[in-house]
Amino acid sequence: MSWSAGQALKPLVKPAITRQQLKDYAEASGDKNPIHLDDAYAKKAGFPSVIVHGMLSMAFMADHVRFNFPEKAFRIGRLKARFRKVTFPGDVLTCSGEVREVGDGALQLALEVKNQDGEVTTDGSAEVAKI
Amino acid sequence: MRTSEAQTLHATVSEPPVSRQQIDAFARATASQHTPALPPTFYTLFRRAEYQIMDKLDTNWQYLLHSEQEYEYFETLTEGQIPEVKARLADKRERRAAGFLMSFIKLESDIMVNGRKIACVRTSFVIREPLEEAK
Repeated sequence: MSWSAGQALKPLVKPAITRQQLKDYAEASGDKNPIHLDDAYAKKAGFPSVIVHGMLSMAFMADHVRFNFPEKAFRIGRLKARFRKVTFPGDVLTCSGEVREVGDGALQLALEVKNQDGEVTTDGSAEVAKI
Repeated sequence: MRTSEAQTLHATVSEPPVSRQQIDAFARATASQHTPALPPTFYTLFRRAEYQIMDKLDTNWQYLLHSEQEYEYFETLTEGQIPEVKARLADKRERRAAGFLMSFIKLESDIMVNGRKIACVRTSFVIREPLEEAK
């Protein structure tokens, strides 16, 4: 498949984030900051409950890039995320994006993650190239 | 802290060998269905060097928010490799506003394997600390 500037990527909807997933992610990633695991701690920091690791949203974004550009055919040269809005357990995140630029064998991508209310929680960019 | 002063803060950490179990656990926890070899954000496991710098800065973790993350990949990390992480404080700026001390911190890390740089990691944090609790 050939890609052109402005072309939309296939969106990817991830299952609702669970508290168990936050525990599993803390274990697997080593990020055990209690703001992701302990409601009382999160409330003291000004949140209604624990918040989702920003890096979990970025992992979704990365999976979305791979959904569109499989490991066997493309290498990722760069991946960047900006965490714009806090995500909570129960949120359903949808990853979308488009090809921003095509050039020299590499594609520049614009990426976005939205919650179930249509709010952008994370945006970012990536560069992918054919292997 | 000016950038020139910030660059004097650094840390180097050797990580244990990467295992298939670690990769699989990370892929499961992130519900990654399309990254059979290695989830691209797997490198987040190698943050101990960053944390050492943050500890040197007396970071109040309760008020820390992750604002940006960037990975630049040069080679693919594979099972069995032993990463060495060289992290440095790239920038730190502070601003007082509406009863809070806002700290903007940028860290950069090189992920090395056998002396070769396989990835570069850039992390930005914002710490929004009430002035009465600021150290």
